Amino acid sequence: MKTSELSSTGFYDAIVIGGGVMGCSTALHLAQGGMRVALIDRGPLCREASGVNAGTLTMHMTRAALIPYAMRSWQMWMDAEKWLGKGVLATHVPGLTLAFTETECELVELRAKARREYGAPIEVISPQRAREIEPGLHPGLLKAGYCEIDGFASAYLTGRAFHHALLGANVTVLENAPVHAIDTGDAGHRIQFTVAGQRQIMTARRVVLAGGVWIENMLAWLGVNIPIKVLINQLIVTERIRPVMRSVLSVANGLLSLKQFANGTVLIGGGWQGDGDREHGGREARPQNLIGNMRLASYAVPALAEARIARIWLGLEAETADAMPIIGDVPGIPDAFVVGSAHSGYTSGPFMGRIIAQHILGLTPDLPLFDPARLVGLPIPSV
Amino acid sequence: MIVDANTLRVDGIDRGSPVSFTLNGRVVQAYAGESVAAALFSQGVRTLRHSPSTNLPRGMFCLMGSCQECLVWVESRKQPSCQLPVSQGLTVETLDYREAQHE
Amino acid sequence: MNDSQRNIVDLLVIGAGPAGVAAAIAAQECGLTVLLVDENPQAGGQVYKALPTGFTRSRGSSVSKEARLGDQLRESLIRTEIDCCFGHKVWNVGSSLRVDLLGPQGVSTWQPRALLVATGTTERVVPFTGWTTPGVIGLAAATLLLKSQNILPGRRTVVAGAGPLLLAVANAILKAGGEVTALVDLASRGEWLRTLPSLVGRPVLMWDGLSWQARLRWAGVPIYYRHGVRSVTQLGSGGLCVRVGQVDDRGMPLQGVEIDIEADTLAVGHGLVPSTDISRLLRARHKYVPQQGGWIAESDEGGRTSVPGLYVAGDGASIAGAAAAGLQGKLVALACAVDLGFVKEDQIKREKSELQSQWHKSARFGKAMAGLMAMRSGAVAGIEPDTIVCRCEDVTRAEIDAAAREGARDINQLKAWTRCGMGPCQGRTCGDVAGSLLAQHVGARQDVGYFTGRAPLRPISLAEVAGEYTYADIPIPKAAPL
Repeated sequence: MKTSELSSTGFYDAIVIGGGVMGCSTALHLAQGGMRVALIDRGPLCREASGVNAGTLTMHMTRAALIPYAMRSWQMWMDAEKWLGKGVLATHVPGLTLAFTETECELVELRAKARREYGAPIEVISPQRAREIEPGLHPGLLKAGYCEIDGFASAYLTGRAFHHALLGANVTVLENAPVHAIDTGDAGHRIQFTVAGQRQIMTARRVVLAGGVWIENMLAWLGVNIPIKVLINQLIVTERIRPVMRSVLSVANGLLSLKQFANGTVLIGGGWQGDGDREHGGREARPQNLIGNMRLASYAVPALAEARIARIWLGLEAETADAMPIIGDVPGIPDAFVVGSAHSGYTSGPFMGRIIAQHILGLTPDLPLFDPARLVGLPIPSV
Repeated sequence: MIVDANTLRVDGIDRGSPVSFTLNGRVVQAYAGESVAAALFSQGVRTLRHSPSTNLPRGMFCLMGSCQECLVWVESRKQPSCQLPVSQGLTVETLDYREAQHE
Repeated sequence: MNDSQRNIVDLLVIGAGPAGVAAAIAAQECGLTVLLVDENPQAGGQVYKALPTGFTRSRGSSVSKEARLGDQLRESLIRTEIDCCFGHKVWNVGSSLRVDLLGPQGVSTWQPRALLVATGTTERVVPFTGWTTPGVIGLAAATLLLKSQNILPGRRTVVAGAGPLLLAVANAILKAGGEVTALVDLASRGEWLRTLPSLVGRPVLMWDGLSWQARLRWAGVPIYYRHGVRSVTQLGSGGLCVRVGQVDDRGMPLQGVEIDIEADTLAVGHGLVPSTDISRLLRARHKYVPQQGGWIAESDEGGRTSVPGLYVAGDGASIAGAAAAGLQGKLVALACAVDLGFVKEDQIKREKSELQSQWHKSARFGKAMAGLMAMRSGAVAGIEPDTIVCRCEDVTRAEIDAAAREGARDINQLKAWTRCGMGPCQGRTCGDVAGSLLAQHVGARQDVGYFTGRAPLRPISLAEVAGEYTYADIPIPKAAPL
């Protein structure tokens, strides 16, 4: 980003604050819709949740009500080269969700049924059939949910892909530029930020808050109180190993995600919690939860036991009080919008960016939004 | 100090007992306690694996357990051979060899 | 050393080199309970690495001063009965300073009140065409082969790069009866002469330096000052062709005559890099000081970092040589003893002041050598586009440059865009060079940063972490909502 472009105040049709997949997709679609758009992030693009998540593109672990969004978004990821230019190595493989106990068998049935109701083609299959699809599964498998529409992407490629597409669409991209405040008035929104040590101001008619776990802070700039829960997810990736699996695997209790990339590395996730917070980010993994996650992984696919871990890291995932996304108008503030905090937000991100952009452009969104007003003042339920 | 003319091993040291281990099934003579990497390197065995994308030969490099280039398998453990002491009957397999077993 | 029921200790020292051992002994003398951990089977670090277990020096064979110092170091540990965990790798450290170990019997955990990281350095090799060819090893690697394994690197070895290890390796090869086919030094004679003042008051080192030079001359070893390795290619015979050429004072290749040298082995190294794995993992503040090795943890004269309870000492804190490391270990142990309330500051004031003045004297030479080992920007600039920079992931210079041109601004963004640093070595081998390459586009090396520290500090398998278990043993938290 050249500093010369910054010195003028620049009046934009829309400024998107937050350069994760939601913000990037929103900015891209707004620009394609003819608007003059700026996208700003306090760090590099897609370096928070969007760049460090497990990259699972699954229906099994997506909330049932979000299945229609996930399915459309899944297709966008598979077609990424068309609209994003550079892909994220999105790979289409089937997905299996596994049951090793009677309780998990019931969960498999319940979850499959709930998702079928929302349009996901999930069927419950026998362990024998599951092993035909995935020979390396633990012999103690009792039952599995099977979905043909599943897959994964390499999340860490997302930043570069969007960076390229956004510049190509003439979006002004400002990285390493933390925003401090938003002044809203008749002239629109004045965004105060710092870049390269200099305080700057940008103005826009519309502002879109796409800050993931930091949506709560951003809404506070506008005087709106919506608590957003922060999950500190642990992720583990192995060294390159010989092919040991060829589908995306999860466990019915929702606590495992497993996939092997073309380069041979296996990514282990499942939402096991580490330590950290919104202010400081992910601090460190919890040893008990590392052990639990690894036991589950090497139980599901015994060949993983020998694999060496190359890296462990943490990602912050956002969740609202009712576990549904927050997509729509910021209550009480004209021309201010918010998009994010969806469970499996990476899977659904591209599509959610599209529908909020459609809404902002005055078009009918492909699928209904999720009114932020419902969440005002709603506390996060305690565990 | 004079080097034993037949090997690269330096004189003036009372080594551990002469032993043999296997690399991919082939017998290798060495001394108990030497690192597998040193024993192999001194006998001209310097390629242990191939690079991920370019498939070019790789082998011992830092010899201090940092670079992870000299990896080998011993049973279910993959480890740097520079930190693996030779012992009688040790069964060492290269990464390519072990992978071929699974095919 | 087996696990105790309560794995609690006042001071846990990671690294049993000169700094770590001195610190452990000094701390114990102050009344602290101490645990000394090292992944090697015996103490000594790299500089005083022991002979393999079961090896002894033959009666009547000459023992080098270094070997004697190493033996003394190991004896001092036995004499003082310091608790040691040898053969144990540290794979994780928590923010509470909890240390997770992997040893022969599996994983174990310790909770110290204070943690001293004295893990020394790794070697930097600035890439050149063919540097990944088997038969190309580091200078430190060659040193280990010679001093510990007592094996020559090859029948004919080219010794190349920069810094004191060049002379040390060449000398050790000649002493062992091997051939140094050529010595190729990025430095000029003048640079070496300028380090002479640091030898004042160190007659032994001065003598070593002179006798090494004499030995090289007597053996007729061709010495190429201000030269660097351009490429290495494998010969049909199994040997290597090492091509060298002139460089300028920044290490940048110059036009001119190239010389091809045939050899079995190339031992090459361009300086030592302080190991900051653990301080980076714990998010200590670091600063970039090329003359001290590059990125190092910010620390005071007591070794205290920006993380309370975390101390650093030795070459891993800042390169100053083995003698200085031992003195610094003592100083840091005293600082820790004061901080934990075992001694009062005025009790150790005199000893501290004496140690500090000794340290300054000792460090002078080490620091001068560190200066010779500082990364040369021209050597990095001279890396060919198709040369591999990240060995683990096969990332070339061209890919790094492309990412930089496209907008990658810091080394972690570079990692996400190219996979550079994502492999098993966690960027230890390539980080310095990759950062320098990125800085050539972005500006200051400091602004490019360093790879974020992540567990595991060394690769560990799932089986090793998971241990023995049944499905019922898996601590399942609440299941996800429908």
